[in-house]
Formats: sequence, C-alpha cells, structure tokens
Amino acid sequence: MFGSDRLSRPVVVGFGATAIGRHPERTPNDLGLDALEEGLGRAGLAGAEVEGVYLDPQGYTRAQPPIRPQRIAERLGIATRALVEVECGGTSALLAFKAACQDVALGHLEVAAVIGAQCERRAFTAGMDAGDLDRIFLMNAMYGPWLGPYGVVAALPLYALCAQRYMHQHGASPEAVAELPVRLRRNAAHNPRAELREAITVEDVLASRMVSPPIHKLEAAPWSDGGAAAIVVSEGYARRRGLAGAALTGWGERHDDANYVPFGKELTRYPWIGEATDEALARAGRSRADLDVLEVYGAFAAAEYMTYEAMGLFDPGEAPAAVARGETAIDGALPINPSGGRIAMGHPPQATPLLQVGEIFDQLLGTAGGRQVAGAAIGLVQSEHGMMNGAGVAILERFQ
Amino acid sequence: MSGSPPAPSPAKYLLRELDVAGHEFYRRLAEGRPATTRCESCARTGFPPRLRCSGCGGRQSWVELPGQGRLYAFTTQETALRFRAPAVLALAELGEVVVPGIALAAYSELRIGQEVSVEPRPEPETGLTLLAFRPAAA
Repeated sequence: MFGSDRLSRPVVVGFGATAIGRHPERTPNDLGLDALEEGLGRAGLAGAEVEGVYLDPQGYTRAQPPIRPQRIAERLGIATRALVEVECGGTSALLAFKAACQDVALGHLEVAAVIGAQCERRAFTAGMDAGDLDRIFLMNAMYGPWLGPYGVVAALPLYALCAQRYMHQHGASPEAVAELPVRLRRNAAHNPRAELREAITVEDVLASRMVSPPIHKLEAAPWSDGGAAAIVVSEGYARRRGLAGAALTGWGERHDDANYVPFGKELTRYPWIGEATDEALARAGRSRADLDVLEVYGAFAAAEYMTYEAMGLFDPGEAPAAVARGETAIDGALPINPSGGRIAMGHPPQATPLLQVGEIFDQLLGTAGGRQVAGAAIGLVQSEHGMMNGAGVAILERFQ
Repeated sequence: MSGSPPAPSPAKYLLRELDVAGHEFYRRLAEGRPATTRCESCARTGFPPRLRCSGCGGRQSWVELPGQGRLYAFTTQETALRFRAPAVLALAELGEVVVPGIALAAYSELRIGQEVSVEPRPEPETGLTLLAFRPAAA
C-alpha cells in the first residue's frame, strides 16, 4: 500500500439510491444494498469485483451491533481488502467516501463501494421500549454538556437560534427565507427519487406549522428514510474497463472547535466552510467561476443561505436576493441543489452526502433528466455536521 | 435474566460528557454562583469553561459570570426531553461570554437585546442546576 511514488485518481463510476421518503417495512441494510446493486449495475460491475466496503452508521436513534461492514460483506458474499465505518454526524457518509478515495488513491485497492443508509422515521412514532428510550438519552448527549441538559434531542431548535440571528442581522424577511423551499421544490419536481415534489408557494410555507420559531415546517428538511451507494475505482481501472464517471480532483475539510452552538461567535458566519471550499478548489486548480453545478447541504432554509454565503458564493446577507433572482436555479448562472436539496429531495442524514455525490455524478454524465444543467463538467459537493460546525468539500469533474 | 432491569436514567450519558471543568461549572451553578474560566496569561474569558486556554495554552482560573446581561437569541423546542414548548430555550450575552439557558417569559414577549437577570434553577431529572434568564421589568 505504501512506497509507491504515484497516486491513482479516484473516479466515481456508479451510483444508486432508493426513493427518499418512508420505508417502514425495510432496514438500513436493505436500503443500502438495493442502492449498491443499482450502482454496480450502472457501472456494469459484479458484486464480486468490490474489494472494499465503506460505511457510516445506520442512523441516530437505533442501536447497531458492532462490525457492521463485515455483516454487509457476508450478505454480499465477498471477501475484501478493506472494511471501514466512519462517523462524524452529517458528514459521515462523505468522510466514508473520502476514506474510499484515499485507499484507491494509495493503490491499496481498485474498486470500493461506499454505502450510506438510514431507516428510522418509525422510531419516533412507534412505541419505544426501554432500550429505545436509552438510545434517545444517548442522542441527547450528542448535544454535549452545555445544551444537552436543556433536553435538546434535535438540531432544529439550535438552527432556529442562528436563523433568528440571520433574519435580525440582515433584515431578511420571513418571505425571503420561505422563498428557498419554493425554489427547491421546482428542482425536486424533476427528481423521481425526491420525497417532496409538489409545487408550493411562499404563502404555503408561511402557513405551515412553526416547528421552532422562526423555522416553519416547510423550511426544514424532512427526516427521511433512504439509501445511497457510490462505486469508486482507480483511474486506471476505469480506463481498462472503458467506464465514464466523475473524478475526484479536489478535497477540502475544516472543523471548528464548537459542538453545535459556537458560543460567543457570530451565529451567521461560518468561515471554516469557506476555508474548506477554498482548499478543495485550490487542490483542483479551479475557482468558483469554474463551477457548473453544486450540491450544498442546507437542512434548514436560513442555514442554507448562510452556507452559500460562508462558501463565498454570495456576500453576507445577499443569498436570499440571489436565489429570488433565479441565479441558483437549474438554468441560472450558478445552479445549486438541482436535486431539490435536503429540503425537497429529502434528508436521510446517513445517506445524504452520497445522494449529493450521486446528483453531481448524474449531472456530469448528462443523466440528470429534467433537472440537467446543460454541459455540466465541474461540480462541487459540500456536506456538514452539527450546526455547520464542520464541512467536507469535494470537487468532481467529468471523466471519460 | 430474572426481573426487569431498571429504567435508564436520563442523565447517565450527559454526565459522562462532563470533564473536570464541566463538573466544576455545574457545582458552582448549584451553589448559586454561575462562573466560567479566564486565562491567567492572555486574560481571555470564554465559555465553555476549559482546563487550559484554547488560545495560548495558559492556566485558567474561575471567574463569576455577571448577574445581568442581554438576550442574544431564543426559540422553543417542539420535540425535547425537557423544556418543550412553550418553554423558551435562549442564549444570553453575559459580559464577554454567551451562554445557554431558559428564558422565563413567553416567546412572544421576548426580543433580541432585552435585558435579563440570571437565575440558577435546579432541574430534577438530571440533578443539575441550570441557567435561567428573567427579563427585566419593562
């Protein structure tokens, strides 16, 4: 594995995903392996060709027996060179993707399968036993010793605090925030996997329940079930097999020191996301002006605006006006979240970053159907964890 | 296995997340003296409290937090283990630091920048004393 003086460029050559939404009768392993089968099929590869399995955890509210990657390999009936599970909140699946790309780049293996899946919407509605309750207490502790004691079990109220600051500081109106989900639904209408495809209006958004003021229900991504899988191979392997795809050309990553609320810092500025973006672009030898299409995290509308601004795509406070002008639409100057984003495509956090990678893969291959950005050749994926506490940014470029 | 195991305690994982500075923060709060740490070298006061300065690595000493401050942000939680709506989860600026707590007023009566006074309040489920902010009389 080490000692080689050359790195192999990792190339995504296959992608699969389930419908995003509700799958009450299925398990995360079912959804992840359905996605993998589709991804392998699109690449024309057999399961036996997979040399490594890269996972993230199966969710937040359900306990998971250890050594899950080996059980996935057993279900697939494959012996491997690498079994990996990576966890860091919302970035988990992107960091599993990074781990796969690193192993491919180092020449440890040539064909890696990255799988992310989550299927636990039921856990909040069905009766809980003592073990489920314990799991909720465990999730409460994720918010740490300063916020956890206040009973926090969701990121939503914390994102409400930064949304309130954003609206206060920039004078963003409720209508301006509500505009984003309206726009994202227009994109999701062309995405057959998306959970929320029906058109809505600003009035619909503002009439929806105030789940954690100032956040309305339709400004929050749904907590979805879903699975996604990406097949990553070396450039040499892709050439030998004649496979087209999306090559990883740049990676950037930054994590602030705060867990959820960055006490004492501006709740509207997330400079580490900008630094991760700068790093990824510099590694790829690209600039923001080179980007044809972006998939940005955004689990809540105001936070998505703040992320656009943190990435240096718009000046602070300017994202709402740019979105309202159509700049981020599929036919705009800077198309962002043609998938519908988290808010309209749906958000199974443990699969979300791979859904973002998959959207860029489809855009670069020209297989994005009605949401195709014309001529897309260079794309960006940005995923985050906590309350935008850290971000991974990947630059993907068309490979053929 | 004979008999049922006892129900899990809501506080068991939270308490495991506390380091020495965290235990000291909640101990002082339980005594009615909210405090945080200040660096003896670079004089920076921060929240959360730390054993070592994150800026210069210097030794920290404990300083009491001001009893008055201003509301920085606030919301309500629809889903939570404790302090569900209509309780108001808030951040307040107390001197140099921003801290979390519960605002002792209805959401609709609060505004950013409002003056608040600090009231430590015991919370029975975890056994910890927490911060609460009472708006100054209008």
